[in-house]
Amino acid sequence: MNIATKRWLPHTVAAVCLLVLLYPLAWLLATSLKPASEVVTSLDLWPSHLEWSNYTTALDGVSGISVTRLLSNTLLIAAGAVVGNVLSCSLAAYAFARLRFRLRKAMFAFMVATLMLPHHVVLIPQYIIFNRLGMVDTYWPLILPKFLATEAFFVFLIVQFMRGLPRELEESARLDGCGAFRTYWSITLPLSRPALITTAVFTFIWTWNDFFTQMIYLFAPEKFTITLALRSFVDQSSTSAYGPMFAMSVISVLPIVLFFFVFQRYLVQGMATTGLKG
Amino acid sequence: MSEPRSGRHRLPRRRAVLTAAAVGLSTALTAALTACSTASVGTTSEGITLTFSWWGNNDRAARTERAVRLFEKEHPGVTVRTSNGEFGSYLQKLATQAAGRSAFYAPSLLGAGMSVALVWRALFNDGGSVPDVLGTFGIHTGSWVGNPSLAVYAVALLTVWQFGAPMVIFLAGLQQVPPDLYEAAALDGAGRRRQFVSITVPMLSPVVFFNLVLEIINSFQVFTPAFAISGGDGGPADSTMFYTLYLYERGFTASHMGYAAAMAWLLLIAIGVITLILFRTSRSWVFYADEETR
Repeated sequence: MNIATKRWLPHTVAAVCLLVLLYPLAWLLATSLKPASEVVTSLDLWPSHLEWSNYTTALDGVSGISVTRLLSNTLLIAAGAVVGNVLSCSLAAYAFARLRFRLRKAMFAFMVATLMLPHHVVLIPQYIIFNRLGMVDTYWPLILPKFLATEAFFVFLIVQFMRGLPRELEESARLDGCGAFRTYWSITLPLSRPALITTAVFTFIWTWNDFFTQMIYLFAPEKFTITLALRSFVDQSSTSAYGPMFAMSVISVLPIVLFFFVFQRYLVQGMATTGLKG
Repeated sequence: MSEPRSGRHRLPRRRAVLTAAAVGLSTALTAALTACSTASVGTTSEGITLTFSWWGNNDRAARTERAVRLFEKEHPGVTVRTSNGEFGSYLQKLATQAAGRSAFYAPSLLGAGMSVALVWRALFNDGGSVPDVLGTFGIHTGSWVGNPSLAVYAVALLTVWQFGAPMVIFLAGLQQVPPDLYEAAALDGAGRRRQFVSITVPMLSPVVFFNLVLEIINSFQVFTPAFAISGGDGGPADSTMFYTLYLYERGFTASHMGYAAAMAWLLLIAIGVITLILFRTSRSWVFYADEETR
């Protein structure tokens, strides 16, 4: 192997892998713009003409609920989850990282242990509780738990971050007469920004992608999220509806792609550090 | 471009104006070449020398060159040096690396959603790209989605497709391996392959273990892809009837909440046992650097 091949071979292999990897996404975009007759017959990614009507059909939505409605429903849930997780998880994390109280270590271990707990173990008791409270088929079951610091992953992430912060600032704030809450709010919270951004971004993306919880709790079509609307395409396999169906898919992943490009620096860094500390 | 006021820092008037102009130009150029990497101002007895190096395309370089010559003509005494320097190519490499990293990472963010699951079903269905491409190589599989012995592999490949998340964790692990280990090994005559086997693999084994446990736990809980690919019923012939799908079916379609709750606890026990076994085996193959020194 000469030097030139040695230098270019890894790059070429990586580039080919990347093409294969991104093919499904390119296919999604291409199919959303293809006329119905071309979807199956041609392997060609490039449509013969751009069929924008797929998007106008998709915008009409599913069973009379427009896509704007579906998107704003999803956005409401995602925004509620983000605010809830950032506030409650950081508050819990502050207590674990800075305050002294009885059984702190035991409670922290217990909290970390819930990381191992499959989502499904709490699912059914949770459903029964929300059912008793009359909250099924509202957004409360999707938002309320986030305000109670139930996501141990984020609490743990923020605790690890706060432990790395210098204590001096907080001590001087305390000398100036700040109580625990004021210290948290004015000193620790602003300093924890990177961890909070990671929390917010992942909460947003996970909530947006979520399907299981939404399917269980929401029934009325006007409360549907974009994912639930896409579900109605699952049962049918006729290829004639491919265009509008994938146009809607593109619309549904657009916010994630947008978020990804804006926050990619934090995402990759955040994920890398949480991974190793976990 | 104001003149310095106090005496102590006063330069000859002409030079002061030139310095201000030079700083102004370097700021303007830095702004113009958004990717400009370094700019420096040097003042000697002969005049002022500005040095720029950047990376970017030649088209931009030509335009910059014209602006620079014009500036030099208007301000005699200023020499501008520009170069498309080594540091530039380093930056360019960093940028492509970051872009590549993001591109490999992107599927792990989108893959959990319903949209990609629907794409997957179409790609692996009759007339989809995967059977078609395999067909041109003489491998005729037909629809994976409709074939009980292949459907589960379509779901598995969707998880493989999302390897970006563990990849990023591996990357962080690689960056934590102390470089002096490699230097020492190289001095002792170890080649790249030997370094990989004797340094990278053992130093990375905790990360391998972490990813292994995490991915196994996550895989037990896969739901959306199986739901989308099977059309919600775990078909064909129950080949994609995953544990969580059955749990959903029992608890919420058949309304046997108690049964589903018991299933959830069994899932926890199964995951616990497998994790325990992995932890036991880890003693023989996971290497913790800090244990060695204790």
